[in-house]
Amino acid sequence: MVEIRFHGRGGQGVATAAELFARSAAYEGKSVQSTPVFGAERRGALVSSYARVSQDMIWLREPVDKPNIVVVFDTTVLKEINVLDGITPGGHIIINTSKKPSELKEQLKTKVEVHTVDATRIAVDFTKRPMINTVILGALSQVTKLFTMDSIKRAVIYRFPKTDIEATMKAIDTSKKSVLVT
Amino acid sequence: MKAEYLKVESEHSVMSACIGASIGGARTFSATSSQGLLLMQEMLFWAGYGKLPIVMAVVTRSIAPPWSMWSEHTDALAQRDAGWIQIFCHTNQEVLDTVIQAYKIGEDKDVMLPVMVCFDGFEISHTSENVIIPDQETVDEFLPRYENDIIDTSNPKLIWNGVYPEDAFIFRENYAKSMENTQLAMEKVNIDFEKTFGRRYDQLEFYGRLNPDIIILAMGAVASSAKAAIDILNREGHSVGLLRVRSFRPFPSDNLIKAMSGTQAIVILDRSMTFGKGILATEVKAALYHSSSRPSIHEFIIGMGGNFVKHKVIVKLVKDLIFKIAAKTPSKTVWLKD
Amino acid sequence: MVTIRDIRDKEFLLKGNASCSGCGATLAIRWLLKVLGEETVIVAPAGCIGVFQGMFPHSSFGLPFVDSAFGAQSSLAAGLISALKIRGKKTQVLTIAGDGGTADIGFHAVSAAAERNDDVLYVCYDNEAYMNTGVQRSGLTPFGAQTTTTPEGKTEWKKNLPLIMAAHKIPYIATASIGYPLDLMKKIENASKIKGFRYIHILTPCPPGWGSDENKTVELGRLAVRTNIWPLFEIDKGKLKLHRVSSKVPIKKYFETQKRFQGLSDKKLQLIQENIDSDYAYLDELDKTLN
Repeated sequence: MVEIRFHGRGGQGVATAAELFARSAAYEGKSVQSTPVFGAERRGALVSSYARVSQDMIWLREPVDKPNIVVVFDTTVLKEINVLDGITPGGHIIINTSKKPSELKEQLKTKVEVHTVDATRIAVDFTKRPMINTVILGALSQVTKLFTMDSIKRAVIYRFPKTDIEATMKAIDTSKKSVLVT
Repeated sequence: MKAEYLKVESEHSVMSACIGASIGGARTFSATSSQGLLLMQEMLFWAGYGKLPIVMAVVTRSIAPPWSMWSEHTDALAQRDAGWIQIFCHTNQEVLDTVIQAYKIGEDKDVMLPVMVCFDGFEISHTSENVIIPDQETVDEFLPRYENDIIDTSNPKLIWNGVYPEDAFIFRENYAKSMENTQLAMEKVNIDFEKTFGRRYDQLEFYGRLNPDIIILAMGAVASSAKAAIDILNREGHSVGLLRVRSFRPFPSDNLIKAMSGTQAIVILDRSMTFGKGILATEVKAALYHSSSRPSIHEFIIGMGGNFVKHKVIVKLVKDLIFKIAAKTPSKTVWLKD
Repeated sequence: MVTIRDIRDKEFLLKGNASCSGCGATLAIRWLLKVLGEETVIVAPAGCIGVFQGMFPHSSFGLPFVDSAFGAQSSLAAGLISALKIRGKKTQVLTIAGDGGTADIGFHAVSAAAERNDDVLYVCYDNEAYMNTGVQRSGLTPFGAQTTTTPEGKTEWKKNLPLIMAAHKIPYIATASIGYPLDLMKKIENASKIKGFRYIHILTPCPPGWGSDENKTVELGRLAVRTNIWPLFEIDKGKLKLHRVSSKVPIKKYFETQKRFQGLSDKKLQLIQENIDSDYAYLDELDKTLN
């Protein structure tokens, strides 16, 4: 089973990201689960979500304590909580930032693989909006290899039927190709 | 969907409206939780004793005070006397399937009772999972159109007026018969559902090692977590099984007695409380009174206030128990904070 | 006349609370608490205020605060004020509830409290829908507004709760808007000096629910008044005093600022404008007749 946790702020689409991630994997025939973490979430507040992907039925009904993958939507979150809490050895963290992985690896003082992608800039370039929850799927596909671009496309169309799918897929593809790792 | 969406101002009014719709001959549905469910309790009894096949989703949630958005089962279980059939689901697929089944069970002419489809708030209600959505045609075939003509101007009746004590018994007896018929009706629907859609849900579902030393009893999301724990325990060589109580009302007492025979110990994981004891535990013990086998009973209250029921906690408590059973330590209800 | 200099420095609602950015309700509550002062106990049901209160063990309010079940607030307040009085306490009871809790589920209790003339100050913060649970329509959602349960725009008119409360013959009623803080505070001050059931209804814009800009909340509060969709008036001992606007703005200008009014047909716009004009004319007549 692969367990993933997303961190960001209210209004950035963190819950949807977990859903899209799970849906993309579901289209590949996997068993999935995705949940937002509930608090009294207001715009701008810290939020997180998590998802699981497995070959077998997932019976767990608890948050992801030991993620294999952590995704950070907003670097301001890094100062407020320890996003790497529980991350498994050999795990990966993907951060939406224009900084280089080595910078963040130092900042986070960690041994796990640090990946960065400037998803916000890619999103704005292709879709004119700074919403990265679809764009980040490209980077996730590259790092996790859990689903193909086709599955991502299906998931995005299902969830956002009115979106400009061409532009969004270009953005997702770019994020897949632009992921940097230390 | 050919339906009217009625916007009401309080949950008491919601159930009043459902009752009106049902007596008017239509199929009706609503959903609620916790405070709202409690607010409509007067009308829940009305729907139950009034024998109306209303279906309602109950997303279980802690009761205030203090305010909490997270799951506990007390809200649904506190309505166990209201005369509703109560089914606890543990996966999203089961929720969908149970809503379809609920109408068929409730509308059975020997039953005619309302049905609560209960599932844990957030852990199931707001969690996305793989679900197979059956096609409309097949569902229409399984669940034909419902109508009743209780309101009939050519044959006018007084509905729910007053009754003297000597006549009241007729109504209570009629009601008792419906309850007796329910278990059979549920089984019939279960078989039909499996034939049509390929999925089956036992009212008392077994999971894990056959003829286990220890049986865990749980409902809803707690049972789901227990399955994950049982997989680990059995892999490590222990002998543990789960009996998931899916149908809380009617309570599967006979099935329970049969399933218990041979087990040394049962662990009851309650996500509810009735003055300090778990509600599931009180039902289980009442049912087991008639059993010839006397397994030791170990009661736990878990997941209160929506505290996540972590599978590792269940693994640990079962292991601790195995040790205690060997040492023959007596037990009281244990409250788990984690 | 309340001036900026009259407002006390002490805060009773701290910043950093869990409200959304641009929340109109927190503005209203912060100001009115500054007028009421320390000898106040707040009673509030479920709603946005329950959230910006904070979660255990924190509190953003510097006053005793009793949470009540949804709709039960006025009944709880009735019991509370009786107890305080019988014990000789001077603490005033302030009931604060949203439009859902006041006009819908709690209405029977609010009406009963008014009929009993309970010595309570009741404030309704009206963001025109059940905002805390994700924007469902309430009886105070305006005609034409989109919410999750009225995706094509509400087809029913907003209940006129201040006038309904007036029919209960209570000693003081006022409408206010966060666009006019000094006026709001003056009305709270007036109310605090009267005994009996006092009702103040404040329009509090909600950026996420209304689809408006977070930095335009105060502007919206003013626009609502200047378009006459939210007339400001007081009903003091049965006498209505209407605040007449000097320049009336067409309602279209107000709707343009909010996504919830997107796509209103010209026909609907006209209907709404007519409705606003006739409601205002009614208040105008009442003012002239009663004074």
